[in-house]
Amino acid sequence: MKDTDTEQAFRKAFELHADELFRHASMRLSDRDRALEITQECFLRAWQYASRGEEIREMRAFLYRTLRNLIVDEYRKAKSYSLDSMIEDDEGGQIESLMPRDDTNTLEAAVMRFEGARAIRAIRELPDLYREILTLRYVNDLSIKEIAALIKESENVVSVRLHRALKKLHTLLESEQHEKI
Amino acid sequence: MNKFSSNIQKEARKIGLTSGERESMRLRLEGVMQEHHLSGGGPVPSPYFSFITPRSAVPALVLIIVIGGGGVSFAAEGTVPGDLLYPVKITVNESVRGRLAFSPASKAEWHATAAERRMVEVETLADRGTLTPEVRSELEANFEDHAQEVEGIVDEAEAEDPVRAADIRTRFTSTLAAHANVISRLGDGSEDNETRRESKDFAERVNERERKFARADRPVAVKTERDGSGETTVRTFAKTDMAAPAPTLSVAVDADTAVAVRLEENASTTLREAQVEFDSVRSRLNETTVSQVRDQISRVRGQIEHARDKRIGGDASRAREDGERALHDATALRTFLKAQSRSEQNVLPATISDEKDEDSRDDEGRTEDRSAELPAVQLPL
Repeated sequence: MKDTDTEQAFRKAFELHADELFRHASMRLSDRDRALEITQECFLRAWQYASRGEEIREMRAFLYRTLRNLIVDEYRKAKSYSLDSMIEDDEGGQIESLMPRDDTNTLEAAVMRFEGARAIRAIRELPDLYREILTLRYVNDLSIKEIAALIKESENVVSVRLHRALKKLHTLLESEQHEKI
Repeated sequence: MNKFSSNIQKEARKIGLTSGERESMRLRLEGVMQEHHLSGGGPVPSPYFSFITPRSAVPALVLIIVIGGGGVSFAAEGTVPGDLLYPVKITVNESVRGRLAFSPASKAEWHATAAERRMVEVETLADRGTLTPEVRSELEANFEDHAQEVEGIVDEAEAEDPVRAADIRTRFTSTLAAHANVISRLGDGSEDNETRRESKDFAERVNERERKFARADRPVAVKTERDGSGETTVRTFAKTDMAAPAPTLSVAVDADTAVAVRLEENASTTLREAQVEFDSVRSRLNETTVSQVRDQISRVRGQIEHARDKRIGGDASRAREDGERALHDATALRTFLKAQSRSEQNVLPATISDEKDEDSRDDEGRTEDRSAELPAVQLPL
């Protein structure tokens, strides 16, 4: 790719993806300003990578991967997030991962009863492991396959995690509902 | 897309960049993209940018990128007052960089960097023997503006993010102390009377600022509490004002430990940078200096290890003190080595930091004795 082509590709990528990356960063980090900085840093890192002569095949996927690494670094740096919330065991061992996940649609339907705003608020309250998967799937509209490639897990693990995340979200929304009543 | 997803997305679309934020990011990206192209040899700088005022800084940057391919702003970076492109450095480059820092911590870091840039400019002029009262007063005013911003932001951030605030405070005071010494040394070595006098004045101002900022450096008292959900929260407040706790900081670890970890990490990074500077200037140094610098590097490394041992042993407040000292000394070492790489004069003092009796480092004695902790000035190697 010629230099000017790369620059054009970057400008286009910025116009297309800046908002969705920022949205993702804001869902993952509580501080809006940090989310802004991380989004900016994501594009700068991607450019630095390209300027070293490395090829970026899938720009969107590459940007998401870069953003993900920056967020992980941010968690490590801040130390204010409990590591447990990031690495909470969600795969539930063998038995859970072998269970059918056919009721994912049912769960989605159940969660749908609640307004979008409340769902967003509740997602922010979940441990980061679930927050990440729900954001990628429902806020950023990535497919299971794309998420699997991004977080370097099998599609099966992604589906299981998503299913568990939905369950947690549902429980959280239900409990809020009961508290109100 | 199912309905659940579209519901959420509809709501999430409310989260987005404002047009100003988007524009700032776009500019930053353009700047970096253009800077990269210049590394292979940029266009000839144009002299027509001195009319630029801060108000027009951002459009001016666009203009520069369009006309000059970013070369002007890149070429302006290493200038000092009196150089053709110095106004571009101040009114374009720095103004844009300042706008691109969003969080208070980033803003504080940016102002600390800008203040340091002024001190480096004074050093360059002192080294050349061309520091006039007019330029000194101009640089001093700009330095003061940035230094005050750092203080204001750090004071405000203290309650919300004591870890980062302590980190910035320590780094900034260490930088001030080190530069004040470098400026004095370079000024003293100048044959120009005016330069000698103006350097001394500027160094005194920097020292004053350092003492003032360091005085505000109160230790933080920490209390941990566990709430109903089992999450540990940490309350921090200045020891001098125990009755008025600052807002709760939600951290999973003891605040002193968190500060100590951050200080250790920064001291290590700074020491690595000092090592890199040392490698680049060592061929110009005599054997005695080389061995002294080497000793100082290993001494700071020892301090970092000591701080780490204290932290692992559970003595967080001592670990924090040792970490501060290590960062202070590593910063001094790096600053001196950097100044040495820029100057033909002998900048390095024999000792970067005086060893002091540990027991005398109590809180009351600290402020008054601080000047004694500064690198020895009168020791040419």
